[in-house]
Amino acid sequence: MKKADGIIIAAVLLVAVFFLAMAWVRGNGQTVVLYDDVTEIGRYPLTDERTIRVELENGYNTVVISGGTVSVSEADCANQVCVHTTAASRVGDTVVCLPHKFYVVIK
Amino acid sequence: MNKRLARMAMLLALAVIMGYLEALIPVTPMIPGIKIGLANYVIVLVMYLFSIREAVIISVLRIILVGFLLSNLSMILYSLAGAFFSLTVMALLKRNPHFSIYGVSMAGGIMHNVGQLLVAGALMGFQAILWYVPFLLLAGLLAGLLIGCLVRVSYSRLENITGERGF
Repeated sequence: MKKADGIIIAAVLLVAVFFLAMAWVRGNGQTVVLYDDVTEIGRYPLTDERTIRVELENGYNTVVISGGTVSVSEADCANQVCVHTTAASRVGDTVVCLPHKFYVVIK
Repeated sequence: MNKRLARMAMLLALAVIMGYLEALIPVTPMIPGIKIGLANYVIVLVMYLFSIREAVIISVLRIILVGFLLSNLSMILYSLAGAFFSLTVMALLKRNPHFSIYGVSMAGGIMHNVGQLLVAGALMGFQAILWYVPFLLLAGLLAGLLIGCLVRVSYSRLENITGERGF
């Protein structure tokens, strides 16, 4: 192992850390998009502090946007999977309520 | 000429088998695409035992052979991109006396992944691959280091077997 080899290691570590930081920053989502089946029914900034009650064909879901995350706090669906889903915050994260054909996607 | 052909064929077979063997062993199931690159071991070894020319020939033939036998056209594209970046940078660094086999091999491993990431980014969008970049860079570094060690260990033993240099 020579000195120049060490430079390669250092350079790669530096670039890796840079990309990790960039991925972290860029990965945090900007927008919360609500869907009723395939139709978009709402769009809110993830920076908002708000609670949205979504009325759907088969019932309702209460969506809470708070502290840069989004979750479903309440729903009258049978399985309550959406309510128990971890709060979403990153691009591509979803909260899904299959019984209501309702889902929340972060973009 | 026949001797050269026989040696090239043997090394090509070795590279193909190494790649095939590795496909049987899942190294890290967590992040797709991370492997040691045993086939690359043969390529780096050839580069040091003979020259970059032989390494390029065996690398390209291996990719086409394995590509059509075991995988598909998009895998060939990924492999060729990885090999192109890897071999180009290794050839440049090998000429520079400041770098040892470890540095050359590490740069090769890293650039292989950089080439594949560029293809992935071009096909799927760079936002989609951003998370993979740091992990694949580190994986390339470690894999390259390991390959460098392997080549160093086997080089001195194989130097005598190959007889006169450059076929």
